[in-house]
Amino acid sequence: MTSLERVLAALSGEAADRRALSLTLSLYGARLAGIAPHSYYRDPLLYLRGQEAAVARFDSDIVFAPFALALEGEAYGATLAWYDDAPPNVKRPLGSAREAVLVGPKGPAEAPGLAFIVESVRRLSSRFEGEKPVAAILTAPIDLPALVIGLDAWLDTLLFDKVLANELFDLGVAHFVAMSRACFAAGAAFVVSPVMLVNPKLLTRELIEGQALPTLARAFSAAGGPLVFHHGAIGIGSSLEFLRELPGVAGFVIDQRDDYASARAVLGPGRLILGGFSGPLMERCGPDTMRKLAKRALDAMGSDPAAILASTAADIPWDTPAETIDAVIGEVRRRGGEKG
Amino acid sequence: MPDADDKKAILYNLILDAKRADAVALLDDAIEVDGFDGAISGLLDPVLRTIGERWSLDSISLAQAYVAGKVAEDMLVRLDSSTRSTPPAAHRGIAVLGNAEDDYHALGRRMVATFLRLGGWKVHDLGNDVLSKAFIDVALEEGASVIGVSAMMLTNARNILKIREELDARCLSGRIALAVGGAVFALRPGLVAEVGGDGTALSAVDAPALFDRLAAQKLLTASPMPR
Repeated sequence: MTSLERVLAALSGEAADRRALSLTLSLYGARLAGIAPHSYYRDPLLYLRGQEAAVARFDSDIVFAPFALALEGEAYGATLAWYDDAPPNVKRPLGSAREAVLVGPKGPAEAPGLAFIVESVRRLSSRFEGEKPVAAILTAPIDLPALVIGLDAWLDTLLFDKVLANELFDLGVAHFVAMSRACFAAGAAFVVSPVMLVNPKLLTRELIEGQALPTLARAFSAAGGPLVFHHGAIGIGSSLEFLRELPGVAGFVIDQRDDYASARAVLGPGRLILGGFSGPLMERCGPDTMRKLAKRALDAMGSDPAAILASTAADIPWDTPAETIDAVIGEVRRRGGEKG
Repeated sequence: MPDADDKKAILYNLILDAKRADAVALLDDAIEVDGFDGAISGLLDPVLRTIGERWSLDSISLAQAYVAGKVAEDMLVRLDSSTRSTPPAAHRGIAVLGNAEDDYHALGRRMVATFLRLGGWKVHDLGNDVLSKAFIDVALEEGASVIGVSAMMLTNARNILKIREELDARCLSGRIALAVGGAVFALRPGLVAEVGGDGTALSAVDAPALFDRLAAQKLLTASPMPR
């Protein structure tokens, strides 16, 4: 089977030759290709070169478009900080929520950073057509304001200025729909969206049910293709009950701390679950630990066909030894089609 | 007429329901009756402690803790405008706060600053992306006993080690404590020691207790000033 066939089998809940494996190697491609992040996250050709290097070295079943959410914040005026060994981050957000509303929604035609994301999807999709699915990664519509104006200003607006908050939600929806449709048109197999502000650890139930969920539903139903709901670096086990009804969501990426069996029980059979181990923690785990973590996750998945072993949370860090990643791949291949 | 426990329960629920203005009005009433000190120590402080405990246990949300911080800020403004002085319990100590080099996640640091000020600390907040030298220079200029450094991501948290190295190089580790905090420390408890931190707190509300403890330890172990 090709990677594409393997992933499609998991999506449709059918058997495959082995468990599909998803490693988030967006950043790691830059290291493998010897490209500095400030060039890598600006030039689709360099990004493609990095992902070609990642596929040649590790052959993960899913290829990721740039995991650089800060580029979406930049489109609205946030300034970026650049690092030698990490994706860009928002350095200085816009001064106020009102200012963000006045900027208005942006699409790839208006912002070079957004055009870079879409063009990277296009080049990756063309390069790996028929072999591997390409996943675009986009900021959730309810989280975009946090990137643009900062989390504290966004919380302040959500809590104390509902009119302005609704305007920012509208901005987030328009942005998400424009970007997801552009990514699907460029060949993305699905869009992964890390979602933070729908978690009871961050927001009140009232805000989640009254504001966040309806906004997500509005955006997701117009996204133009299948979505994967990403846990956003926080456990979502307790939230799946109310997240499972969101429209357009083909699968969920769960946190390392979430219990697989519980997630499956809530989501029911056939719904795709990606999970396993935290990508950021791989830097500190040696090959033996990673092999054990992979084994534990594979054991939890058992013979469930609608599951993909995945690195979760954020990118696998720049300094992660290649042998650590190899240990996970080795465990998946060792078990082959036994799946249990 | 609600008794003291009833008032705490009312204030707690107002904060959890994000009814900031009502919470502040309740505290204003308490100030009328008990004075500022009484209202803070008898009403707001115990409620904040409860919120801190429950936040640490994930039984309340970041948004609710944020509201608690805003109510605390409102009380500090009340105090400033009425007495133009620092809080009554001031001079528990002087602290320098900032985000680690390359870190730009300000929310946690700002909340810590608010709760420290309410807890009687004089705070010099240096903002985001602060270099190790700046932390220590300001701490020396202001006579701070604790430097508090916030970092959200592992890459940036590791820059805190530069502050420890600079404290050691300038023979200040016995005089100035290094408090560290941020999301990554909750995920990796061993990181506090790895970056040379003297301690951390589970939530912003717990920061004053941490700073009090670290300052007391430094007083007990302080070595003579370097010449």
